[in-house]
Amino acid sequence: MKSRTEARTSIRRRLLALLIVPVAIALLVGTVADLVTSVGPIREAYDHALSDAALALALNLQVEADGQIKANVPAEALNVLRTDIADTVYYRITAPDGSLLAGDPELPQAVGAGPNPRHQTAEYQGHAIRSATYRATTLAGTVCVTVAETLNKRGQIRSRLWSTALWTDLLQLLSVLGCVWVGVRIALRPLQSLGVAIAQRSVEDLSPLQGGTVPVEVQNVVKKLNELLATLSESRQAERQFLESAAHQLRTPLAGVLAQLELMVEAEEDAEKRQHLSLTLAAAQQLSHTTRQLLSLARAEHRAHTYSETRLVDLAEIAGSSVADGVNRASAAGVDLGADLQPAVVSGVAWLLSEALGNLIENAITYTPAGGAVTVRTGSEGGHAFLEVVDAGTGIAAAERDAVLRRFYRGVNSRGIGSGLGLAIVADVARQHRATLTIRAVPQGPGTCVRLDFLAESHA
Amino acid sequence: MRGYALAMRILIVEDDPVIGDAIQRALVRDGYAVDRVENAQQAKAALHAEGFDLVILDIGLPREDGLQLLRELRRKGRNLPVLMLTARDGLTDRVTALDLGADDYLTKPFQVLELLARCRALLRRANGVASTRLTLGRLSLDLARKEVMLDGQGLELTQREWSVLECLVLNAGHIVPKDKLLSAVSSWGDEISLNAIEVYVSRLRAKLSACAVIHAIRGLGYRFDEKQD
Repeated sequence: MKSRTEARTSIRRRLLALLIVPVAIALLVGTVADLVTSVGPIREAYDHALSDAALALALNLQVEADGQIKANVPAEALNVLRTDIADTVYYRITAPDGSLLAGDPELPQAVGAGPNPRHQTAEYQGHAIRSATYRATTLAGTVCVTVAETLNKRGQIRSRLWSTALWTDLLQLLSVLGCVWVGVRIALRPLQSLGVAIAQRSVEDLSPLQGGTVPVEVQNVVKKLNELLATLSESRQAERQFLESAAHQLRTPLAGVLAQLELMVEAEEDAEKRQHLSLTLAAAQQLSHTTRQLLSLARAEHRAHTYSETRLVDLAEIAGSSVADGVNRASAAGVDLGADLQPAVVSGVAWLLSEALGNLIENAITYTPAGGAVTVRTGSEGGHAFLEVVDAGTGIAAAERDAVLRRFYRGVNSRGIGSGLGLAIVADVARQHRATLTIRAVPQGPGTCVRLDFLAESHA
Repeated sequence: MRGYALAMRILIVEDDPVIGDAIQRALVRDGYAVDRVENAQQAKAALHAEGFDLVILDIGLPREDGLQLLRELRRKGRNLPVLMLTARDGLTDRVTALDLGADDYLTKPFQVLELLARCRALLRRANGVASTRLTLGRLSLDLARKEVMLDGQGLELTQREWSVLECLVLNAGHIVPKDKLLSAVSSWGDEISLNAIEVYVSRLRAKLSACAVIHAIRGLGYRFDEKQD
């Protein structure tokens, strides 16, 4: 299946297929034509020899004074005729009255008008023969001298010709095939190096391709590709700028509102007003939280944005500071926050991993009742790095485990001021780092374990 | 309000009036002397004239940004503590700022309480190096005489309790691993188990419950924080 697809998509193979079939047919037709045209001259040459023999016999005819015709066939001449290596030679000399003067009486003899000598193909003693009949005119009338031979020599030479022709044909075909193969390879080399050049580019590199060494036929493709790259680069740039301005334009007023509200809550003496302000502050904090998560999500989505920030990072180090960030929250919720951090080096983007961990720890604390424990673990297992956050919370029903990864999805047992983006961010970060995200229930008792397994990769 | 002995001078460089005003009011309320400017030009003039103990510097300033100002400041050999603020995310700004010599970094939006805590830590670090007295809110430590004062009242601690507290306070706001506490205490000679550390910490918690929180982070260690009211 796979090789069929390759054959269909390989220009080299298509060119070879398209060239080889007609070349093979042309060579074959040429050979057959050569053979067919060579049959005539060969036959003529042998026929001529037969005619010569018949003439030689006719020269020895003597007409006696009594009008009797005497055929003197010299013994040497007979010897020469009979000792042909490949063929049996027959002869027959017939008097004008049809009586046999010498030779084989049953040998078929072409009599009658026509060219002189006259040739024919016939059968004698079960073999195909070729004969030449010379009508010699003597004073006593027309004497027919026929010399015939079997067709062995002719057959041999024909089969030798055929086999030689087939061999040369095959050799030619092979050399044409080789030339086409090498030629196509050389001709397609610029295309191949273009492919290599594209493959070796980093995801981030959107600079135009160099079209200098590319053949004219592919120039157009390169041109279109470069246009596409330019558009992509522009839109990526615009997107990045948009995200940056959006972040700045959202964060600055939010920071002002939050800071002012915070101070107002603290300074307010009137309990009722203080309550109102606290509620407003909480709402503003939720807005700030969601904004932050949305911005992270928007940035995390684009691998190209984070490509340049990829380094070798130790998950243990990142987890350490994420845990430290969660201490106050855990302490306020009466949750026992802990960590078991073994070195786990991965190639990744530190702030994205930190964002993911922050969301996981926040979730874990939110869903764990007071007195429960939340544990963050990092380390290596079977050659790959992992991180996991284990809580003692209400757990996520197996049926909901895929849904919770969707944006803005809030589970049946949702708590707190969540936006439903936390786990979506974790899923995005996992995808970017080619890590496997697993959500499972803690074996004994309530609680959930969210785990990221990072591909064991060569740190390129 | 929190009773700092000296009025520390802080310069705020922030172009957003709402944020600038909030930071200024919070710092003034806590007893700092605060000046606020809105761009790098004004900041340079202020820094040239006055002796500030700390600068709170926004990165996103009009014309000349905060990073440029920081670079210039450090090039001139001014090593006063600088706390950077930014509305941009990602690690690049943070790394750049810290590389240029910023002492700390906060992303907007931030909690005012968090900002105040960071300021206190920076000022403490800058001044604590020279002095043997440490002040954290209502708590005051004399490192030379190994004395602890809460609201001006002396507090009775055993030698080991003192060692644990000293180690925690010197790293206030940061997690101190258990074995670091163990080696601080073990300098007194005897073999001490990790469990004993827990005992000292819980005793300290009881004695300092009015002014401090000692968080236990399982597997990592302890963290000393001022109590927020």
